[in-house]
Amino acid sequence: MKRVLWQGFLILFVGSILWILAFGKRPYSDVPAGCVRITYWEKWTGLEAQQAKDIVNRFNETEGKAKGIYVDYISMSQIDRKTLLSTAAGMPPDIAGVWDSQVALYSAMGALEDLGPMTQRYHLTRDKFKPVFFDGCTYNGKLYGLPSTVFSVALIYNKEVFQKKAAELRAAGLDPDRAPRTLKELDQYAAVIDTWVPHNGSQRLAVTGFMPLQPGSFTYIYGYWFGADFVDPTGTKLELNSPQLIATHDWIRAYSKKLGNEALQEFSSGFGQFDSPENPFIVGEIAMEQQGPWMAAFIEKLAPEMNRWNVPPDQLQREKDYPRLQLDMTRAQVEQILGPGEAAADDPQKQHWLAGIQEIFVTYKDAKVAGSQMKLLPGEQRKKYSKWAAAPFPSAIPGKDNITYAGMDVLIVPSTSKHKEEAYEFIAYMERQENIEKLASLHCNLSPLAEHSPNYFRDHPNAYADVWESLAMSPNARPLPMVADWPQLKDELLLLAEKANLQVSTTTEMLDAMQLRSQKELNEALNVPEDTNLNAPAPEAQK
Amino acid sequence: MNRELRNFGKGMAFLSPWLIGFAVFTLLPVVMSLYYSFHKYNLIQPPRYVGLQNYSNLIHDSIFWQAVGNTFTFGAMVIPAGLFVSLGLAILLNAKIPGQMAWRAIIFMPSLMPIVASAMVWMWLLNNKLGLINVGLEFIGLSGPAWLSDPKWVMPALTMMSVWGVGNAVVIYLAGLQSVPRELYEAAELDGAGVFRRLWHVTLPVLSPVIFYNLVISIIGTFQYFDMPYIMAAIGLGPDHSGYLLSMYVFDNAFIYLRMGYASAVAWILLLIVLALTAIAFWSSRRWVFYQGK
Repeated sequence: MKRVLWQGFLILFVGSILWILAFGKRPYSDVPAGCVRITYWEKWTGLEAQQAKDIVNRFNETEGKAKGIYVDYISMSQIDRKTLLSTAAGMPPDIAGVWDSQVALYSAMGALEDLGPMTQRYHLTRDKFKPVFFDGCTYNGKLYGLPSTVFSVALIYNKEVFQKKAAELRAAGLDPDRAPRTLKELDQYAAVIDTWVPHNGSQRLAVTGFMPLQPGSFTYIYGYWFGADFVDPTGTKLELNSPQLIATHDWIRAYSKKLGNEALQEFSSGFGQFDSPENPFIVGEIAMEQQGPWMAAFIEKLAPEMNRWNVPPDQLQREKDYPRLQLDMTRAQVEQILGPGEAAADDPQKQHWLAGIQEIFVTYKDAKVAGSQMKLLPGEQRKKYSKWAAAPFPSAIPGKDNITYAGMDVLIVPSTSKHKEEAYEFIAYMERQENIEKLASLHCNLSPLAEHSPNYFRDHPNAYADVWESLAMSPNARPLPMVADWPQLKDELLLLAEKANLQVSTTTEMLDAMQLRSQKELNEALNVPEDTNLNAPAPEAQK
Repeated sequence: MNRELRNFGKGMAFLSPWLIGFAVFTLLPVVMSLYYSFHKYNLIQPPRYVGLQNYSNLIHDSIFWQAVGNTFTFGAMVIPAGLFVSLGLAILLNAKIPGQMAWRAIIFMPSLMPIVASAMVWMWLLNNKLGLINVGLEFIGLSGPAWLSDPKWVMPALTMMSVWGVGNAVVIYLAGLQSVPRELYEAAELDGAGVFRRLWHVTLPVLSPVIFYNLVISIIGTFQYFDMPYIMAAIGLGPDHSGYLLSMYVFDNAFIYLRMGYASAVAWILLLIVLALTAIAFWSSRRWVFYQGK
């Protein structure tokens, strides 16, 4: 009996395997016959991934089909490591979406394909892009990637906190209706806004105007606003121990000295996570911070009321009532829900209402609802309702305004990719204005292209997208320093900022050590004598 | 002889899945890491021999020394704390108390929690303003520290998190406690020994091989501790690298900065530290570990 059971089990097991082998789903069975399958790895997940996938699907159904190319989109975490490991193993994706901080590192080790010839062929030349993003993909004179969605860094501020402190700001000679325009002004605004409350017999920080280490996303690159270059224009000499970088960290140190080290630690320890409704900017604990354009999407998701600050109550209610509309409702039923609507001038069968930060359009046919839609109000109108606003982050250098770090997601082709030509075809499709703008808009980022469609800013989910856009176009917009050692330098600069914030006086020593180590690495890569430029900065760096 | 050989062959055949796995996924990487520690290697370009340069660079690397210091501080806190807490809990759970099984399950449960979930829970527990720990301290009139953002309190916070997951060690101690001969307790009781004397003169000596085993395992585990501090660092643990351990430095060098050679050198230093500490534990065990029947 036992033997029979065992034999039955074995037959079932082997039979199942054979059945799967014979009739199971084949990998890549979706690839149309005669098409070359290429893989595209991206770091985006969730809705962002779906939006990118939509573009991929459109390509597969149209141009891909015509040209015999099928793109397989794969969304994954830790894309940088996986791309590099697979490149080393000779099995890389054909296209990967990485971060700008990886471009120099991977290019220096020969892991990326030079896209220069391809961009000539597809007319994707520098003049088609905002120059800063094209330059951020260029290492040692060669182009190793093309930007997908991009961003710049601006100052965002809480208008409500400014208004609460309006009297004090005016008394200090500051205007509560605008953002600070110089770094000195930023410090003054911050000092006025700092609010202490009694707690257990002492004082506790409740609101601060500005904290250099919050949210911490760009702490390592503050040097740009102080005139630091990190590396000279030729890319051969690092300038890490420059007076500008020392001044940057002195400024960070001054904030922690002003507020008190322990008070700051206690205050920041209570912050909620960035992507939670307890985000300190959202709850009003921090009045000003550096941010990218995506913050508008976070605010809309986590605290939509911040985007509807001054919206009249009836208008706000309409936005909530909109889902109650149904097809075939009569005009009277619709107006019972939304109130009296305005008829469109060109068509009496259309009505529209203001609803929150959107506009509702209803079309009637035979006196019944035939269709309805909600559309964002123009950006300029939404700005009036917003509790927050954006402005250029003030510079420490008089006369040098609109400084920003311009960052990006980058499309690269690994050097060991087996389908480079097909990969170029898809990248060129992705970089078309209609595709890249749609993606940028959905990701609440900017388009890397120099030109934009007429309604791009009107419909952008970030009402202040124009502020970030003008910063990205500024001559003072800078990509990351194109240094292969950047990932480590970035971590060390973050550590340095933390040390400055804790009043640890090791800025000069640490910058000297970073300069020494990193320049040695660079000299080795450039094949120049080991001791070249070891102790930069050069005298001309003392700007 | 032939039969012995045949049996040996069969034994090896049964062992072969593990042997092959061990050789390919453990032994070979260990040997390769030693080789790479004398090279400059970034995965893409061929390794270039640099002799002892990676090791000599470590001498001047302030972040390496900070990570070494942090790892030793963490070990000094978490190894004794883990041993005391797990042993204490095991002794309590060995007593005949109502709901004994439920208590055992509750104590073991944290060690089953996914690391990321634990990290998120601890992040909120240790929140300065809203965290349960500080709220509780405030309730009894104490002002809780900024656990995650004050460098002085990061290590105690990490120790708490680590000790929270002592369930595995508790289970091992419980098994050990079951094997303490009842007649020894009875004899001690007849001699007038109280609870603490019985613990000191009977339980601990008999349990010493288990304590020794847990000590060695916790030395190795502590010096390799990586996941929790790494996740917590990503969400804001410890400024100024106050929670930065040697294992994290290995990872960053290998997979973020792509300095495989340097990372291998750090990994070998870490291995030597663990070997040295384990050797000390073995050497000292002659004085305090007692095996029944010897």
